[in-house]
Amino acid sequence: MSSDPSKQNDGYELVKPPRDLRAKVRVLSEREAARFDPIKSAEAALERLSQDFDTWMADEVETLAEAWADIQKNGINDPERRDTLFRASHDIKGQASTFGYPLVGAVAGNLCHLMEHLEAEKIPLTLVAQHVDAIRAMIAEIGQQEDNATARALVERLADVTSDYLARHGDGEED
Amino acid sequence: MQLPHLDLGRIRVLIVDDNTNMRRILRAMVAGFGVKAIYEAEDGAAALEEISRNDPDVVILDWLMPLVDGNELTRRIRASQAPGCFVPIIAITAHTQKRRVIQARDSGVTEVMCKPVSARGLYLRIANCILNQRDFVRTKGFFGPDRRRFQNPSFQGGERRGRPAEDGYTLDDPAELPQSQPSRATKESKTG
Repeated sequence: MSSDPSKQNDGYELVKPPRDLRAKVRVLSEREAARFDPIKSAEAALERLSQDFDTWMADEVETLAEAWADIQKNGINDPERRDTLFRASHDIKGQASTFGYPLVGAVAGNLCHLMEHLEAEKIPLTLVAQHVDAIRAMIAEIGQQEDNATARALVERLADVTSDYLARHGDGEED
Repeated sequence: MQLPHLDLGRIRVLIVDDNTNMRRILRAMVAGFGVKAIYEAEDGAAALEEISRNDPDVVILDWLMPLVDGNELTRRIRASQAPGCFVPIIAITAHTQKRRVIQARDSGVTEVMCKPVSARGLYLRIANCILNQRDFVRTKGFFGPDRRRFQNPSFQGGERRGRPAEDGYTLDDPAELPQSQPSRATKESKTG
């Protein structure tokens, strides 16, 4: 590695990374590029995986349901239990669109939003339960449909109720 | 935007995510890009071992993980004295808030990507880490990629590196990068 002596002032130093990564790659020739598009290739790989997405989504929802059942049984005051529920919801939020369940992702995102801006004792368990139930119902009833009016109304309603609740009890932090 | 089609066959990538399904998705994408050496770790401790053992060229890590999260892992990687401290880090997060992105930047990540992850978005960031490799800045409280992606020779303002970050930070737009500064590899390919 080398550093630039001219920049070793003013409280900072610039250091050149020892490995030049450009030396490890090659831009494909036009002919090669016509045969191999890395993005299309990756999308095709995802498409091949997509036959498993329903199962994976079910697994993620099961993880969420287990985390919620644990909280129902033992309460929400334990930070580890809360964290487990939050991470399960966060995973669904992050993956649902990729798996083809954007509405489920919206509900999970809303649940994350709710938990993130409330102290433990202020988290409304009924509203959490409604989110978990909504996610399970959507998976069971509408699958990957994006244009289901009932599901869309449910997503909006949960968002409105959450927003109202956070306005009264939240930490006031903006996203 | 036309991205360069790269032969990434010699690049080594480490994927760090506690979620098995997410690792599968990322692996499928990265393998689709043509990367052959792909390593996985499901937590921060395993990631540090993999970095030491396999010396990856790029690390893709989930920001929200139990025990050692992406923030802490990035700080540990950057704080190590090993050559691995320079590895480009692409943080993937379902958080979309600006303050989270700034937190990631301040811990020393190279790129941030919000979920859902697209093949195009991930390829762009990997290509950017390789083609537009940035120098590192060392200050009293920070070691990580220079936040200035490009040098502007006509810049007349004062030097702000080495001072605390200001709130008026404007997020980089990675979508602008590869076209803005043609890489040496691109030039070599065209001329050679």
